[in-house]
Amino acid sequence: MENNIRIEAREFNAYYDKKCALKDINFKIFSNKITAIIGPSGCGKSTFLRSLNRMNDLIENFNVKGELLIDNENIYDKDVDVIFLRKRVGMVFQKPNPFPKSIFGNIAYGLRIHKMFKNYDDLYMKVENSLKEAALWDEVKDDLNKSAFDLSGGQQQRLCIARAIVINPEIILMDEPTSSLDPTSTAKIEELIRKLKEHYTIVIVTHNMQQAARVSDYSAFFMQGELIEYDETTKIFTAPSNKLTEEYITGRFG
Amino acid sequence: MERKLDEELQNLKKMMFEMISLANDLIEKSVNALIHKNEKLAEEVEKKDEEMDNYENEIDEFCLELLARYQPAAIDLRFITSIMKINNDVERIGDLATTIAHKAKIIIKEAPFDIPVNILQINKNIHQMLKDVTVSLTEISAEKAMEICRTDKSIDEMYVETFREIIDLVIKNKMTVKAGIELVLTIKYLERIADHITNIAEDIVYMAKGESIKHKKG
Repeated sequence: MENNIRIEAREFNAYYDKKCALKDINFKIFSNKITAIIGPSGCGKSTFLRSLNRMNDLIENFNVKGELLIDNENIYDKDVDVIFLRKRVGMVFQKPNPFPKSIFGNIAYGLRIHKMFKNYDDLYMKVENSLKEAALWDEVKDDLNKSAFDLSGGQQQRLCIARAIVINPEIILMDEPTSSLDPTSTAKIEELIRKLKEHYTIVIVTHNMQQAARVSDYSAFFMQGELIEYDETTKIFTAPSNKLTEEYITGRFG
Repeated sequence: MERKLDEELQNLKKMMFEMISLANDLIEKSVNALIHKNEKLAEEVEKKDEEMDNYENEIDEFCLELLARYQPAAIDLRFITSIMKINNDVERIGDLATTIAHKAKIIIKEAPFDIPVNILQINKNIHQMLKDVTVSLTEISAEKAMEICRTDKSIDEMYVETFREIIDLVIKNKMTVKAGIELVLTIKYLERIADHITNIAEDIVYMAKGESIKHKKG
């Protein structure tokens, strides 16, 4: 199958005040693939991820240079509707962050604010489908009105994934989605990520090297704000081309 | 940064060198048993085969342990998986050396004859190849390993030549048919030892470069 480019960075630079956090990034991310971004702390991987739905706009003095295209449109163009962009580019965070609402209310929230349902039956069906897609439905179908906080950490994270996908995003960004979860919950989330790529393009930042090796199709290694190496994950983890990549993934530094 | 894994990999390498050195010793003794008609030497080789098997098991177990405990990547991963393959080839070399010792015992009992010169040359080349393997494994050098693959071609040619020579000796009644058959088998085993050494060299190339040169012509 031919790879379609979904996201493309062209000479993309990002600055916090005058400090350069991303330097001349040229990077193509493919549709319906899982792309892992790895690298030591402070390498720019989270900055890059957060640039993809303009989460960094909320930070004072954050600015960019160059282009960041999604489906060939620069998301930093002046006329871009950021709310709409974030609907297209969903995000799942390190720590599960359910809203202080019921399980149902969490999922329905996005549908309500975007007015994405016809009637209650339609709303219920969409909630049900997204919980099924996030492999959580069987565990919560009888407790939809319970508080989301009553769920376990792993269930809360799957709830957050369900909440992200219910509004039909095209891209899902994941920022260390399993770092606060136990191995069983981690395995479930990873299985879910693999299934989700059928419908979504997934970009995941992870500190867990084995996780990147297990779930991703492509891996990108960032260091000091630069994209050092980007290739198929198998290549990166068996025979990386760059010495720095090799030193990082074999734990020789970092 | 100094890693615990580096220390483990050094130990693994050391075990591998010991095993290769033992294989080298077994080939030398089995060929000498044949050349010098020394049955005792042949028996010594047969006894040492078990030692080879022990090395094989130990190295295999150690590799599995390292994979499970460290989940290595890149060069570390290539090193360990290649050692697992090399281990297998070295063990096969040991088996072949033992079989040569066994054949030597049979051949010695036949009417005396002059050992074809090529056998000595093949033997010499094999020892050189094993020596080169040790060097290229120490340095993880793809270039040196490639050189070994080239040596194998000359051994293949010598094998064909020696085969004809033996047939000729048998036809001219300078060697018994039984001795001829066993000697042909012996040089076949030597030639196979060289093939195994070539496999090892190819594994070292993969280890060093991450590219497989197996089953590629040229």
